[in-house]
Amino acid sequence: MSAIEAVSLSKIYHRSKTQALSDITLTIRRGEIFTLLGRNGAGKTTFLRIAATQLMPTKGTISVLGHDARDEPLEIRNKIAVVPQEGGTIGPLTPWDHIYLTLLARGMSRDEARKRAEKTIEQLELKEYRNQPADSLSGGLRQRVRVAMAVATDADLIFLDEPTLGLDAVSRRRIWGVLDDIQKEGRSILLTTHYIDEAEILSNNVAIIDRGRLVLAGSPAELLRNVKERVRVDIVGSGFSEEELSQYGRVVKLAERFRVLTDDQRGKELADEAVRRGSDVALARVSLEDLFVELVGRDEE
Amino acid sequence: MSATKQFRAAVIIGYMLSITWLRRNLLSLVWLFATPFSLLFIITVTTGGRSFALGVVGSLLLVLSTVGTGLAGDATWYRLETKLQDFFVASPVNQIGYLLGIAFAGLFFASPALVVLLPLLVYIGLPLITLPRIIVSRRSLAVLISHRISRLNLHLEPAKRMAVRTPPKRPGWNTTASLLPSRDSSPRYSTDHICYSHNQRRPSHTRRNGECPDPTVLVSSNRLAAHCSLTLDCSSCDFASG
Repeated sequence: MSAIEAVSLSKIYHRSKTQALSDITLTIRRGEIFTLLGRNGAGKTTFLRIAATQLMPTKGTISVLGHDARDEPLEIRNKIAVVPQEGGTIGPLTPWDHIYLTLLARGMSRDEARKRAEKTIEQLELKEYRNQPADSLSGGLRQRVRVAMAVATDADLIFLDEPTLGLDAVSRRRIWGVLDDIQKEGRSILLTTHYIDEAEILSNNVAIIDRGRLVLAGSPAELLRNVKERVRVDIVGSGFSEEELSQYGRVVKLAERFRVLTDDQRGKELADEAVRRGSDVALARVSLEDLFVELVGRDEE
Repeated sequence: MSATKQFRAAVIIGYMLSITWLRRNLLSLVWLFATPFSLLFIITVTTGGRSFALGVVGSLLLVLSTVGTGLAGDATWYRLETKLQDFFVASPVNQIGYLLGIAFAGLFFASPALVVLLPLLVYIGLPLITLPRIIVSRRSLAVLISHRISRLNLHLEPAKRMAVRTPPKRPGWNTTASLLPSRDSSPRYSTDHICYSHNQRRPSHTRRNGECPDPTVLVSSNRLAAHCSLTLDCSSCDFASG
């Protein structure tokens, strides 16, 4: 059984007359981490909120954990947890209060809630701040507390709307570890993020949404097969002109550096030439980010 | 979740949003006491203690209205800023449980003042069991003034007349209907207010209640009765005399 199955899902915000989602058909399997990628306002959060029974779709159907989101929202809510985007913590409550009281409110027994709260506090390295009021914590720590409130639950499906926004690299990795543990327990995660490396590392499957439309979906490896150029060569230095580089492949100017997207053979030749001329050079496989920019950034260019 | 668990969730949410706050911000207790009791203090001092009962009732209403309006702001804050509503909507806690939780938070915030005001309310003669009925009553203040304060013989007749037109005394007040003024709010006047044709006035306190401006006007009692039942002031008497 799939965790989420959306068929021809559309959403129009009538007040602003915005088509947030348009005819999205998507299947998210149980036990996987699925990431929605897209630019700001692409419709990621709208999709997540519909799946989390917080919004009604305008058209189409969506079933979550075997229940129709329109007809059986209560059944779904018993099995999910959400970390909303850019929410806050409650000033005087400590991280412990946030996690423990939330678990109690969800109907967990005291012992179970205590056990889970302790474990999550350990996992997210919040032990040191356990009894400090949330308003005295840094933004990153507060974000970790909010993530902890959802991941500490026993929900079968967890929705995380940009959970690592504003976190430092170490904290991000810590959260990745926790999400990985959740997946190992057989639970599913729907994630939205702007960090493409995060999507690439964490996700079993990714969907790229642009202006409410599904552009591409599949595993990161499958998606990268859609890219014509297989390697990228980053060159820093004044040894090359843009015209000269364009003979090797597609050139993208990134601040002080040139990025050349090309095939294996020509990439190797370019890298050798750059080394010979004394330029700083880096040769790598194209990433999901390159694909993302190519897919949703074309109109901008 | 069952109804019991929803109730438990509501109490926990209420605790989360109020008691933990109060525990860590003890100074806020001063504010919670100061607002209602400043009103009580002012009313009591300015009337030399005679309007203490009114002050208690006013303070209670002030507490309840302050908490009530505060709750609307809190609910918006939790929805838009902390996204707590989004968090709880997508959880086993249903809408009623969540809203009840926020309401409990308001009640817990009001509890320090209520702990003092409710015994005072009993002290001035209002049984607590009537409190919910009074709160939901549209005319709560008017009802309190018109029905209950009179028991204490505080001589608040002028104030009562300003607030409501006093219906006649009723024997008991066990039913909800007894709390509310009569639907037929037209005042009933006794013959105390009638100008008699033999030029004798019965005692009355105000002009409005039937004092004749000109005691020399003579009216036949038969004609007067018909007109005075329709109108309030003695101009009708004059009209009748013509």
